[in-house]
Amino acid sequence: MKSRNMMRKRYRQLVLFTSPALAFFLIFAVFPLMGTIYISFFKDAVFVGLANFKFLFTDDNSSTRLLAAFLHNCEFFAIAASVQIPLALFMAALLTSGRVRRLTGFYRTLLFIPSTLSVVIVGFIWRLIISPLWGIVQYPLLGEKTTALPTITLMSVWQYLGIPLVFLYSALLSIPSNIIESARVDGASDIRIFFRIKIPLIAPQIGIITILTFIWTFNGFDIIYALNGGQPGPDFSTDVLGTLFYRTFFGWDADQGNQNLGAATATVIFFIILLGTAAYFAIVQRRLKVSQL
Amino acid sequence: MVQTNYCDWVKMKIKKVSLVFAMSISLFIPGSLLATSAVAATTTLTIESWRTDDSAFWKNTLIPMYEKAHPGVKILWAPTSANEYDSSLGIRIKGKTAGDVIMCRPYGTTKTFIKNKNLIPLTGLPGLSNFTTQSEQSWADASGVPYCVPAASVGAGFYYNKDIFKKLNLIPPKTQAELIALLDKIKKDGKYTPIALAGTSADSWALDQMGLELVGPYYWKGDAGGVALDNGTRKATDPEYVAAFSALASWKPYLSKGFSTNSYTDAEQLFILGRAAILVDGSWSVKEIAPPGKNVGVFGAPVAKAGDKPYVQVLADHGFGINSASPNQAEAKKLLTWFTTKEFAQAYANGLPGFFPLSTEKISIDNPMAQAWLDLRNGAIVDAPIGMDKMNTGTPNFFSVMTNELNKMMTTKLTPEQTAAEFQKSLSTWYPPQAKNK
Repeated sequence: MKSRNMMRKRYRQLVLFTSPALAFFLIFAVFPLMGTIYISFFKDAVFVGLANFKFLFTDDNSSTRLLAAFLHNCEFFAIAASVQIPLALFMAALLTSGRVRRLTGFYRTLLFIPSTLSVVIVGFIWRLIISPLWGIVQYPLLGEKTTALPTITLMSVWQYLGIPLVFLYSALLSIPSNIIESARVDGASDIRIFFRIKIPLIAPQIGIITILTFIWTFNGFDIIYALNGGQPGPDFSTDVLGTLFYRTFFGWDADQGNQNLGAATATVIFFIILLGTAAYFAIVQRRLKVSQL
Repeated sequence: MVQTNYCDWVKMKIKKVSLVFAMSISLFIPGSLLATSAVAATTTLTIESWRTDDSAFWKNTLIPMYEKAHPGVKILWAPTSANEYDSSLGIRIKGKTAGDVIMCRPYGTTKTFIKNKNLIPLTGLPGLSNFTTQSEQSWADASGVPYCVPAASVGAGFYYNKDIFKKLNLIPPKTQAELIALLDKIKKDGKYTPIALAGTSADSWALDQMGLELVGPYYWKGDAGGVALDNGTRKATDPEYVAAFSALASWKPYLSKGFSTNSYTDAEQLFILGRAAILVDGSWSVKEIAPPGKNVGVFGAPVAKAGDKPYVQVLADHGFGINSASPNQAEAKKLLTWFTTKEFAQAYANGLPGFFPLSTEKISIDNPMAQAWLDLRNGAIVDAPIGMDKMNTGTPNFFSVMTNELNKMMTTKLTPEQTAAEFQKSLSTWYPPQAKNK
């Protein structure tokens, strides 16, 4: 009887302490999300069911743009994941290896500083650095269809390198030193320790960083908008789902925005990210067991 | 300190804080009451605009001028950046939160507002007689009823660096063949970029408004060519339009280094720093490009063959209309009446050199470079840009397709013929008069 009472009390406390966060989450995340999905079923305040989605996927112009934006997002993610994560891992490994000794804190700060800058500034500075007119690169990287998106992706990688770096750095630090020491006593080299002991131990964190990169890149918008505006060229080659959504919802130049079609675009983006994340957790993350020590 | 004392201290603190709080609230209440009573006596008119650059001039000159003569009226200048203006204003109009006075884009967007009854007709507004019907036309409905007071027009053309021209022994070209020969000479000299022009996709509006629209009218014969496209009697792949595309494409060898990454600002900087001999730009940039003391000249669009009469574009730039959802329409009408006066036009012409009042009153222009732009209109055939009126209302609209195709033509190997074909293909998918011209 007494324990039951305590259980009830505990639940009451649980509800009490989680309700502020829950209310916040419901009001500012769940409600707008549901609202977006709701208005995507309307056209000028008339219920049209899935007509907006049908238009997005079947209209010549909009389906081409949607598919192109999706593929650009995949490219954005592929480059960001394959450059940023290994680079961050490498830097984190260097920082924890003791090779930089007293300068660890200095380098850690240095590598994190770009993440604190405004995207507008980062875009502007890089645009000047690689400008054939004022900068040091003689090739119009941002002006060619093939190189524009990778270039912008690398700017973004440069800027946000600090975040996976700090994440992996703390994961590496949390590996107990006795494991490393015993491996060293057994005669394992640094390289071997890194690949056979450290990486398996931090694999779940690498997984989390990968999925976060996926979410960031598929929600990506700011640097592209800052550099190329709402109709990102050349010839839409840097148009991603985020800018497509912006153009559809708010309009650009003489194009008037269409809130219902924009909400439908946002819903499509939401489901792409949701499916990607769910698939990742179902297939990959579950198998990455935290190694028992 | 013992526990109980601490508790007392906290309680006392709370009392003190609440006292201060109550006092501050009591201070605020009369204040806010005062503020509302003050608002009741004055009317605030909000002006929507995309001219963020002109904020200082409005706040320091025009608004004080008007407020001094009209006590009880406050004017709030509320500009939005040019790229976002049309779309965000559209949202505010729909949500009934837009300002009282709306700066009107010529043609397209404003015509949509007129159709949806978002602006009120200005028939009978005193002072409208100061404008020609032609200049009212850019903001009128199909039957000619004006919805905006015409405020300013601009022109596009070429600035040239007189020092470089003197050094290389050049004179401003009269024909397009002379222009190309001149560009070739500058290129051979090797020291300067022959012609500076915006090349990024984000600034490709420049390729249309300050490229195709400059050289094109000689081939498509001015307004007649624009009307023929609007009606569908001619299509963009017809020889006169392809020739216009080719005339623009002939500048390709003379553009700046890394053209496809050079923004509009880059092009202006290149010219200001004396690294480019010619800049394609508009009268609206007079202040930045040709400040007093700079040895800069202007020339208009060179003719296609010697002996042709020059064409010059009078680009209606902006007017002022009244939001039909505004509660202050009577006051707004008074403000618009002031916009029709000579006093306003004169202040405008000298405060914003390069923006030419559309008023028929005699206006003197102090800035010699702005006057030089205006002189280009002497003896020339005046025409309006093609496509902006009727073809800009669909999806994808004329302007976005045209600028994208022109950007491709100038930065890739796309030929003028292919450019015209791509443009025509897009147009025929949604624009009814062109549907038969697939």
